[in-house]
Amino acid sequence: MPRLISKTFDIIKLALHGCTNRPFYHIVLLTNKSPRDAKPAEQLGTYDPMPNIYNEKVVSLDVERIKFHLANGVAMSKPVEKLLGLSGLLPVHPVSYLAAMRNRKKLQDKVEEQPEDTLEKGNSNP
Amino acid sequence: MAAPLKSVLLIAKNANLLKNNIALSCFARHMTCRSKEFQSAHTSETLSEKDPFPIFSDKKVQDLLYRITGFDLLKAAGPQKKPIQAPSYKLLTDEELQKELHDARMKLKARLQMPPYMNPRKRNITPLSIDPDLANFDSSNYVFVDISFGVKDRKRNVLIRETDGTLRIAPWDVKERMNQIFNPREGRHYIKPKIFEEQRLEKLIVEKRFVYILDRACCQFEPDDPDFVRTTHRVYNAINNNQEYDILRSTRHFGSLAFYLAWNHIIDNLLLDMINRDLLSDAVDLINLHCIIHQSSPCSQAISQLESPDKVAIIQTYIKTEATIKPQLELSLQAFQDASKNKRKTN
Repeated sequence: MPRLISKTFDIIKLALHGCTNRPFYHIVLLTNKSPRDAKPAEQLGTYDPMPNIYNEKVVSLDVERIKFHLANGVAMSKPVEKLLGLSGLLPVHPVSYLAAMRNRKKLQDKVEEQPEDTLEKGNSNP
Repeated sequence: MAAPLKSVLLIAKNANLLKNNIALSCFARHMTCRSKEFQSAHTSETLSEKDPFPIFSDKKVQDLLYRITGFDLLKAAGPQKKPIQAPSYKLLTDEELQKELHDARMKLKARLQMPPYMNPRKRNITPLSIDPDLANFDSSNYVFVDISFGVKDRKRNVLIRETDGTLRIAPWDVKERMNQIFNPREGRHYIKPKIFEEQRLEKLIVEKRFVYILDRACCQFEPDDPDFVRTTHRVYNAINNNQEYDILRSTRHFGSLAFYLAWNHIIDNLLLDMINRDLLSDAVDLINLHCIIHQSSPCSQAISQLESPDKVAIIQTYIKTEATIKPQLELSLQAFQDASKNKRKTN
């Protein structure tokens, strides 16, 4: 039986940094075979999933280099696709729409259950 | 339920197609959008309020402002707070000493560069894309910062995806904060210091720490930040009311102060101060500045028609045409003339 040929390819994905109870991601270029937090070929940005005091999640993107790599046909992990979709660099990811729809539905259900209480918004991370 | 799902699937298909083609036109579209908005903002600005920056940055005006500022070595290089350090000694020839002195002087002069005088910037309201389908995708806003190599702080693209799904250019305060995170500057704080609040500012102004406030403001804000404009104008007004102009001489703020006063037609007190200190050439420069800014004013027309534009004549024309405190200005000018006559006699 011929051996299965598994290809290695470049992928842009999130590498988990930060410490206990404090996630922080680097957006990095890696091969699909390398471990998540391996030394990246290139760092292309950061993503801070915890909202700051102004209720913002801060994402930094090296747009020029990301464009270059995308033009060379690298793959992207799903969270990165979502982030780039939200940033307007790519079309918005369909899963973001789905999440939005589910959140809205949850909110609506809550309103129907207890119409007088103050509302908490639904939460989901990409 | 079915219809939105279908549309989502369609979008998914499109997204895949687009992804293959690498549809990166979005950012480009932002850029064109932005430039259009910028133009429209610019035209509306010229209608409502004149933009002072082109006049301020003009070579002629800059030279004039530097001349007015003056250069007092003791004040520019005066006592400063520094960590204690042993003095260093050098053995130099006369030539080398002169060169060292010259270099030091040039360094101090470079410190007198003025902060630009600009109108407060306006918020960019037009959203880049409105997407009601994306409402409530998350409970917090997403801020996207472009950290491409070599992008300058003022040209950095910062976008914000709000919880209702709209994507827009981030407001200025967010942009400033992001700049401070990704390109920190010494002396600038992430959170706006409280000394710029109205009450605390008042306290410092009463203590006459004008240079301190202005230096802090220069450090903290961009020159077209509404807060910068508010603080500096507040301080300039206080200085003008108390006639404490001398505090700002030989600092980088004097030019901006003079420009502010000339821009708002309130140079009379400064003029009086200059004449009383025998700085007649400065007074003439100030009037010239006034004429450059307000070219259709009666004063500038009268001065352009003067046959022999010597210092005293120019000041007198200004006093005749536009001054609000005529008697005081005339008196002090008269006193100056008498004094100079007496000097000539004794010589």
